[in-house]
Amino acid sequence: MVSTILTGAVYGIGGYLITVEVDMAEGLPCIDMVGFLGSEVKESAERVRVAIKNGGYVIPPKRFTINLSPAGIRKGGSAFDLPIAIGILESMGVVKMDKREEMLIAGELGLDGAVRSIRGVLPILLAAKEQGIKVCIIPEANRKEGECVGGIRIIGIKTLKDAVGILMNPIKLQVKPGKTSFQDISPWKGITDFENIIGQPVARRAAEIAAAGFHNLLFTGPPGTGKSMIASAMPGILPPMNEEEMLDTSKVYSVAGMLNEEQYFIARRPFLNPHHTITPQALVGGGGIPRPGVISLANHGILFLDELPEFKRQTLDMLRQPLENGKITIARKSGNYTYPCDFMLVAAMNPCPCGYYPDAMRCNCTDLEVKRYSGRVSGPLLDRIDLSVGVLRNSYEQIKSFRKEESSGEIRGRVMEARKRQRERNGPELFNSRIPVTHLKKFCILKAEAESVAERYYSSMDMSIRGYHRLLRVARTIADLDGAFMIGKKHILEAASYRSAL
Amino acid sequence: MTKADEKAWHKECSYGYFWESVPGIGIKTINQLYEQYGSYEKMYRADGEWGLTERKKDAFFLQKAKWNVKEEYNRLLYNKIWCIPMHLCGYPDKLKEIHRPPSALFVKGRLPEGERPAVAVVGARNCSPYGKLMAKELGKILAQNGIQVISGLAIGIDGISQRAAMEHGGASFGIMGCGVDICYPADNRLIYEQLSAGRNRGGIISEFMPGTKPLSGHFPLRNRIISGMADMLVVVEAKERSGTFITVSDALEQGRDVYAVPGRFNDPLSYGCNRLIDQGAFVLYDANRFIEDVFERYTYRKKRKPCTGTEKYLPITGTEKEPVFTVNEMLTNCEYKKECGKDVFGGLETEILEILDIQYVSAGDILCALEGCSTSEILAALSTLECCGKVESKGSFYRKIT
Repeated sequence: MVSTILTGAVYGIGGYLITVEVDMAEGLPCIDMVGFLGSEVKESAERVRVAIKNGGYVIPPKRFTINLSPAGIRKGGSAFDLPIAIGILESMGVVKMDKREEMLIAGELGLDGAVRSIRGVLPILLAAKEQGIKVCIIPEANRKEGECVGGIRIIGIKTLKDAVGILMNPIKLQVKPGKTSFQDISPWKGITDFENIIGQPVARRAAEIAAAGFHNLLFTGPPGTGKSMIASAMPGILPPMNEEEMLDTSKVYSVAGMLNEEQYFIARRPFLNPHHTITPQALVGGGGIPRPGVISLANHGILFLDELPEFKRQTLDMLRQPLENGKITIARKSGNYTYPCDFMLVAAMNPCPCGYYPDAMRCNCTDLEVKRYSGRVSGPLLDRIDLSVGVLRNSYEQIKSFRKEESSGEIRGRVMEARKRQRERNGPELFNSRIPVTHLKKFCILKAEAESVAERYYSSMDMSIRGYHRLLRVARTIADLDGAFMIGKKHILEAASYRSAL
Repeated sequence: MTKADEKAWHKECSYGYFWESVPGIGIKTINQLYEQYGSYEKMYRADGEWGLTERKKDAFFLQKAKWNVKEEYNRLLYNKIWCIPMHLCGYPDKLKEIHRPPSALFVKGRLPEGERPAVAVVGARNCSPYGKLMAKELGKILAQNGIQVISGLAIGIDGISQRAAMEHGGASFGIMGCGVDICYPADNRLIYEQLSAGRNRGGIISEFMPGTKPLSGHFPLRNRIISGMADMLVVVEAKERSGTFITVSDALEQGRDVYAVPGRFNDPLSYGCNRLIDQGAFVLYDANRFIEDVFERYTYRKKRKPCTGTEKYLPITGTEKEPVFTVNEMLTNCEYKKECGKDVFGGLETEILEILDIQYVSAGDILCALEGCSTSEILAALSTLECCGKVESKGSFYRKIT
């Protein structure tokens, strides 16, 4: 008799359902597993056998054949332990399954029968919901994460015995849709507030524009002037994520195995600042079955690269395509994996090895050294950065003045207003920085005087077409912050002042 | 010189520049010809009717064919470089007395004033902290006493003393071993830019054609100009074997007094200075005494009959109505013409232009200076100026383009 149990696995960022088929037959006593399995899945047989034994059940000396279908996709991960064990128990007649096509089981087993947490619960359950599954039995540790899906009953279990108990007691399985419960934390708790940043009017303004239009941003300046501090305060002025964005980002974290009982959902925009020694694989994702890299973990949030020229050039150039497309496709032997990576790049760098160029009073670097240093960052990457701004040493008047600086809350208020205007014009999810070229004419309407300024600027500054489009997008955001419908002269001119600093 | 003279002067300069450009014709030939004809233009117009070797004639005709006198001279002026041939007024008197004076000087900024004393400060490139301190101190004292500093703009003593002089409001002059349009060494970019901007800060001077690379052979040559332009030479630090001694022997040959800053026994960087003292150089042990000495030297030189040579100046005439000015005054007060006068700026742009300098100023400082203007207003104004070519930007630093 063949018993079938539904379970799930992840492929890239998406989940899909897998059928575990268990057959018990006469023959030499052994457990055979087939279905294009990774080594951790093959090992599962030993874990399951011991866990069942320690659960107090006796496995009869028969031949078990287990197939994971569809057999064409390579399977990894440890989520198959529990469905295999349940399958074996069912074929032994220990449990009885009703409505097996409406139930999904996933979990890892310990030798003592404990059920342990697994990766990728969120995408698996989302796929399950789509396929009409009503009940999911998953490890208790993943329960909260699973409940975020909503509209589906989630049962968290701690041991194999719990699972058997629940399956044998149909009342507990009564279909009650679970409630969506998003993690309830303030999205801005613990983030550096802008009121603590003294002076830096130009950099603050650039940060505000970047936050409003989700533009990439580069800070250039001498050491110790607050580049990193401003960058770390930036999550505090970004508009909060909507549910779709939250789910999107949480899925990446789920696949990466970075969700746990404390943090079971990503409710605030991520802020990632990898060290400059990071490898290309860690940055964009990699591995035999590729895991999402740092850029995907920064999805809908900020990727902050401090000391930009210190990154290996090869590593940085990996960012070019993701910056353009908002997603990364990694090709491996086992298939092509696509992860989202729609992030805002915030970078900081010194303008020269000593850090003070072009302040001739303090910079001792030769022109050649300056060129060589900034040349470590490739031009095509810089070309994708919308706003470039120098962070400078504050003058003493600025430090000693008691003027109250604006807080993150006030700036955020303006950012949200600008965001609202964008939503009304661009459609729900489109930030200004992501306006496709085809829509630029429609969304970025220039006043006549602005048109002439833009034209003059374009010809006198030897801009590229991409540079011109970038200018338009930034000007659009500045106009949005200003509450203007059409882009005026001053908006274009201000946008032009944030051109590449190098 | 009057306005009318100025025109004639420029014309002569343009032909002087041509003669300077002919390869294979040196100072000796030029002087010989000038004596014969009395004008650079006449020399040019004589069309090789002079009794020189065939090779020199060939060189002249070849250069004449490819050199448009007027155009080339205008291009020189456009690049803010002056060419002052030896026989025209404006060429420093002091240089005429020395052996093998340069046949023409190229100047960015202005020339040292003959009416004020000038002191050359030279020394080691890789100097000690003591040397640095002394160079700084010297630059300061000289600047405070209104004495002009002449040096080679090199790394080390030269640059440090010039920078100190500049910081204390004095004038200093960098004599280059390359064309005046090349900043060598690049480390002294700040001084180079300040000096070449002219006004009262000083100037960059060279005998080499603009565009000449800083070859090692050029530097010993330019040393004779350093000492020649000065009334006195001060050696701050020098090793046992040092290029500084070329300058010292030039100075002695030209009759300039040599001062040495004493150092410690067994300090290799002071060996040269101490040896100079042993050989009879003046010891710089008291600043006041030194300054007094400089002025004494200067007035002594002044009293002597100026230049005995055969140079023919263009007439320095002047009527009651027309103001008379020297070449150096002209260099100092020259406003460079530049196209782009049509742009009409608003009040804010004009205010910003007033704040900006030829050195980079940060946008933050501009904001600070213009209380009450919003960041975005000022950034927009700066973009307008940049767009019109009035202002140049590096990051959030801005500077005026003169």
